Amino acid sequence: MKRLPFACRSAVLGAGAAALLLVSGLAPASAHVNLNAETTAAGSSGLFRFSFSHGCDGSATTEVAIAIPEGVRSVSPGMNYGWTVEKVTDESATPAADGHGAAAPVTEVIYTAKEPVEDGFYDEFVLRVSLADDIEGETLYFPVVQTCEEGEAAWIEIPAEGEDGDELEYPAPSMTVTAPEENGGH
Amino acid sequence: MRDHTPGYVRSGATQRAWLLLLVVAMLALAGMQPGEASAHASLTGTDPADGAVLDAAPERVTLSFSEPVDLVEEGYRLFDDEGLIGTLEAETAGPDVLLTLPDDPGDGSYVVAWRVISADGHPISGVLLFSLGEAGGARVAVPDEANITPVVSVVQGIAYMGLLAAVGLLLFRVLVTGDVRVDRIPALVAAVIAVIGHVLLIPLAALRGAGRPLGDVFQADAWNGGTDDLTVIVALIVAVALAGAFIATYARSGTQRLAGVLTGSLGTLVTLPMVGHTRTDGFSAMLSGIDLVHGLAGAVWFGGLIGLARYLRREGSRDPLMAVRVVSRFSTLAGIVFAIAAASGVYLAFQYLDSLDALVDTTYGRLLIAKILVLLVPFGLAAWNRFSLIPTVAREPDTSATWHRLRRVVIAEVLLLIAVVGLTGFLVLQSPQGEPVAAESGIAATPYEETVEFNGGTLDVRLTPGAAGTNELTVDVRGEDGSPVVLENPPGVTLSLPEQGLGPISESLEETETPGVYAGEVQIPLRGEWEILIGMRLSRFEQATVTVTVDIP
Repeated sequence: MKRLPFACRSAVLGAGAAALLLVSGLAPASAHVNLNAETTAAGSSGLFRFSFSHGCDGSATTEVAIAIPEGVRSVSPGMNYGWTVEKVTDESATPAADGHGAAAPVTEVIYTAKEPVEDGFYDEFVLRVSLADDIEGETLYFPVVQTCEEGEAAWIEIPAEGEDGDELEYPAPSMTVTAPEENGGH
Repeated sequence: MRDHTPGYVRSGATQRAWLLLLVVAMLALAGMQPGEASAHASLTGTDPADGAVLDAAPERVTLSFSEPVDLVEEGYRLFDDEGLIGTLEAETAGPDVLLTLPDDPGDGSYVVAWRVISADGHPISGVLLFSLGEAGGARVAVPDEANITPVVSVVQGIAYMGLLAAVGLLLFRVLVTGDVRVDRIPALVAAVIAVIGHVLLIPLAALRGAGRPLGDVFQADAWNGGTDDLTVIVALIVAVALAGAFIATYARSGTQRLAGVLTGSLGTLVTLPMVGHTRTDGFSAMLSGIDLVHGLAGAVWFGGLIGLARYLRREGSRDPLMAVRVVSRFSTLAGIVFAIAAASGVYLAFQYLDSLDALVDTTYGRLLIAKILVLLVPFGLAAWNRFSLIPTVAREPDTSATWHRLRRVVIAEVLLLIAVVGLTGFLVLQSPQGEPVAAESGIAATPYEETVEFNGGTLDVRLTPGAAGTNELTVDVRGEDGSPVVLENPPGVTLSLPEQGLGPISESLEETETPGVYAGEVQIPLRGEWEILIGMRLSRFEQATVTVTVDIP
């Protein structure tokens, strides 16, 4: 088959590339606090990335508090050198009997900024999270309260039964737990 | 190097030039991407201000946002007391959106509903209230709203007539005369009338239910926005079933014809119990069945009479002996059918009417009495037919005068039955309980009260007076154990009217003396089914949202 003239081929390729660029550019970047869970299998451990790129209605962020739901066996907050980090534990709860230590469960991880992060700048927190074994299929919600110089943004909305999560204005970051892996990894 | 490309590109240099051009174009396009996505835009101000009372109508409404936004097509609407006036022209000017108001809107309260898309693709909508020439922002729903029930009743009656006539005509040919040649044309005419009537009922029923005027039948949303899907389904079934019955008349074997016509007829008549009073107390197989039988009897009688009249005109004097047989046969059939219709009708009346007094007290009852009285006449005529006229004709079959007399009597019966079916059209739209079926203005608004559960407790919601205008919203938050829950901040309230796409309108509540109880003034500008969202910050990390739906008359 005779090849198309060079001009036509280039035009088609160029149009395709431009289209791809357009599409990637047009996908709305999220203004929410996001969660990227590197592992979702029940019983597994992996890194959970919480990220944000906006303050509260333009105001600079001073603190980010992440609530840890039930279903998380343990959490190790990552160090982020622009922030100090604090773990809040529930002393009254009975410790998990899984051999990982008798530590009280962590209910909150609070990052406090050393310098307020201006609106429009990106930052992320990496937490090493260990998921419980028996929660396959469950959706875990990690409500995040972002405090700013002025006001706060509470990313704590959880969709009701039948409600579409995409419609919430301040959705709590979430992830759905998948089936456990063959070699239950740590 | 020999160039093999025919025509367009001749040299290597030109090829490189094209490539360069393309790269530049791609970069340019990439550069045109929206900049770093920003957070949702927010409304920073409006002109006129929300709730303003103005002396003169402004030429335009200005909505100021925190950043430039994109317009939504037909996303800007103006409402007054009576409902939607129309969409507004919109244009952007930097971070502002300018809406052009119509000239001379007249005094009164207005609502501007707007919708924009912020740079990150998130839609934002809101509502702006303002008044012209009136003090105070309270709005009252207009008391005179359209009531098109009489028109709908007429259309319903005509739709019934078409339906019954079509079914009856086809059955007449198949059951009574038994001959192959079918009165297709009148049956087709009746069927078309039936289908058109049922299709017209789709918007008319919706408009009637919403209290909108007849002129709105030309608006698209009367046809699909407020439609009760049932009217669409009924129209479809009527069209399909009648078409099926009609096609069956072309079948070769008599059995096939009979089966097809019967199936199509029953399919058509099944729509009768689908709508109306049979559904008042949920589905009852007995009631629906009797309703269907009532319809079938009516169809056989009504359509049969029409068929008989036509038959007599064509065959009356030509084949008198056959004609006498046909007439006698029909007369017997009519007698049975009348008895069935009467019995089923009495049963239905008993089911629908609360008491015998209702016969006289309600419009429904009075229409029913009228229907019965009118029916007595064709009944009398039919009896006279059976016992006097037909024997006369049988004795002197060759006298055309007698045939003419018979035919006139039959036509008289047909006309009377038309009146009966017309009355039925009105009957089905009246409530047997004596109250109007459609919500009408003039009903006193009742305060709304409801207790809703949420994850963590219960919420007692009260809206007084529950009418359009200024209302007091009271919210009582209690924990699972029933004790009051004191929130750090009062609950946030947003109101929206999905059927008009209005909202969300934000309102605020304040603490009251009673712990756990929060109250505030909310403006409800229009009648309709409003959704009130109440958001409560229960703790630092917990938010509960409760939605209640309030019908504002």
